[in-house]
Amino acid sequence: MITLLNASRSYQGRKAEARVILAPTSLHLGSFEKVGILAPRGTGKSTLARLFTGVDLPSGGKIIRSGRISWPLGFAGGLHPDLTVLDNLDMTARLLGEDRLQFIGFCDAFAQLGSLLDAKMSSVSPGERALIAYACSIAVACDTYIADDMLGVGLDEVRAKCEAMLERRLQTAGLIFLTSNPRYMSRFCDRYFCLLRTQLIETDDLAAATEAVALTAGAESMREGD
Amino acid sequence: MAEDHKLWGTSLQRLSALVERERRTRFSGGVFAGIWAFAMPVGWIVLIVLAFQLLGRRVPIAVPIPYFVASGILPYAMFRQIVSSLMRSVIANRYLIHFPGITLRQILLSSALAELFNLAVTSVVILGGIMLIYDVSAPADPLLVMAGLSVAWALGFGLGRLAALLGLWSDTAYRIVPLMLRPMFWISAIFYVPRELSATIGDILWFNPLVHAIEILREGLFLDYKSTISDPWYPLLCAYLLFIASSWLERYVVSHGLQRHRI
Repeated sequence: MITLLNASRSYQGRKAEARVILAPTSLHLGSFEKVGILAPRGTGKSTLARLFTGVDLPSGGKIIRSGRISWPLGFAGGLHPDLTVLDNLDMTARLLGEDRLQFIGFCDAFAQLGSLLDAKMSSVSPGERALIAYACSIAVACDTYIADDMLGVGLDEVRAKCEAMLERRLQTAGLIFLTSNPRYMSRFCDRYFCLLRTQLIETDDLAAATEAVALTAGAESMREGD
Repeated sequence: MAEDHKLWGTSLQRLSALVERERRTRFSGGVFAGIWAFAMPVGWIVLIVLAFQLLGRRVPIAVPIPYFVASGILPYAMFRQIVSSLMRSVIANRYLIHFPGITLRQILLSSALAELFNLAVTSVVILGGIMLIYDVSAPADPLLVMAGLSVAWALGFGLGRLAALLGLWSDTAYRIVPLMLRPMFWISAIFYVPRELSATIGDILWFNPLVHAIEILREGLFLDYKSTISDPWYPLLCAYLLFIASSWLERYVVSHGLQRHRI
């Protein structure tokens, strides 16, 4: 469950002018809700994801998080290139306080690692690495999963496997899916927001969110043309 | 936030896992990486011993030259390598904060603890090796030896945190800090003792906290050696103040999004 109490986020950054990502916002996202947030590229989608996961802190207001909230699905930053796949999985399980054998067993079965377990992460292909990272994030039972533009990895069969596993997890968990592409939203989400000019606005449905984003993008390009 | 973190194991479990990860990846460059970490202080000792011999310099304490030089180099290595390790680790491991319950604070502490372990083992091997080769008797007070190394560690941790966070913010700081630390090699009584210097210079040297760490170690290593610059509280106070400053800087850099690397 995530509750925003007048939460806002802005960056002073390295330039003099502060950049506002999120204007003061109050909203409640329940534990089992499947929320889709449509945000055009460059408007702060990843910043919002970091606020939800707790990596980033709000500049103002408060964000209350409860239950097990995941890190972004498919995030691969925790995999060290100089360790073997097995060592990486072992380390990840330990960092999360998970049962090591169960965690490794799940990832091995899901990603069909086999002999790849003994390979150094640096020798693994980008596609395999992405699948291992996804396996790590979906191996852990969470109350809320966060997806930053990515619900699955790979193509066709692999992607279908990822999405099927995600659907299984979502039978007992919620989802916050942030994306600039509404294509997969309707399958996984039933509550919709759009991030427009620092405002997080709830809409009745996906069509309304898509229309709002398109209208805003159109108005902005007209203004830039003036 | 604390409520969330309890759902992901204990803080101690996470710290232990981070230390283990740091130890495994620190020397993941193969056997040469491990040897290099040991070879650095040995190399410094060898170079200074050669310099002593070339210059005909007498050791100010009646012990073999390598033993005296090691008494200065080991705490210096402890201090210096922790600063380097933290500066490297905060950037190399920054993505780990995406995992629930993992913080910058834990990443820095785990690197410092991993380095403490490595350098403690290195110190035992080097001192033990010198004692065997030169038939030197055991340290007069092993606890004081450990205290000296611990004080050097605490200084390295405090300054390392501050330097790491400055480096996280600014590329210039990342490059300048190691250069600014170079004079420490010459002003920390590594290859001399403070009583060899004039009273005025000795008074100035008192303000270098690392000198205290080195002299405390020497008091533990050498029988009947007493120094006027071996107060443990001053370097520990310096370490504490550096830690406080680094904590403030951490909050400032993170809340203002001033990290130069994307997280």
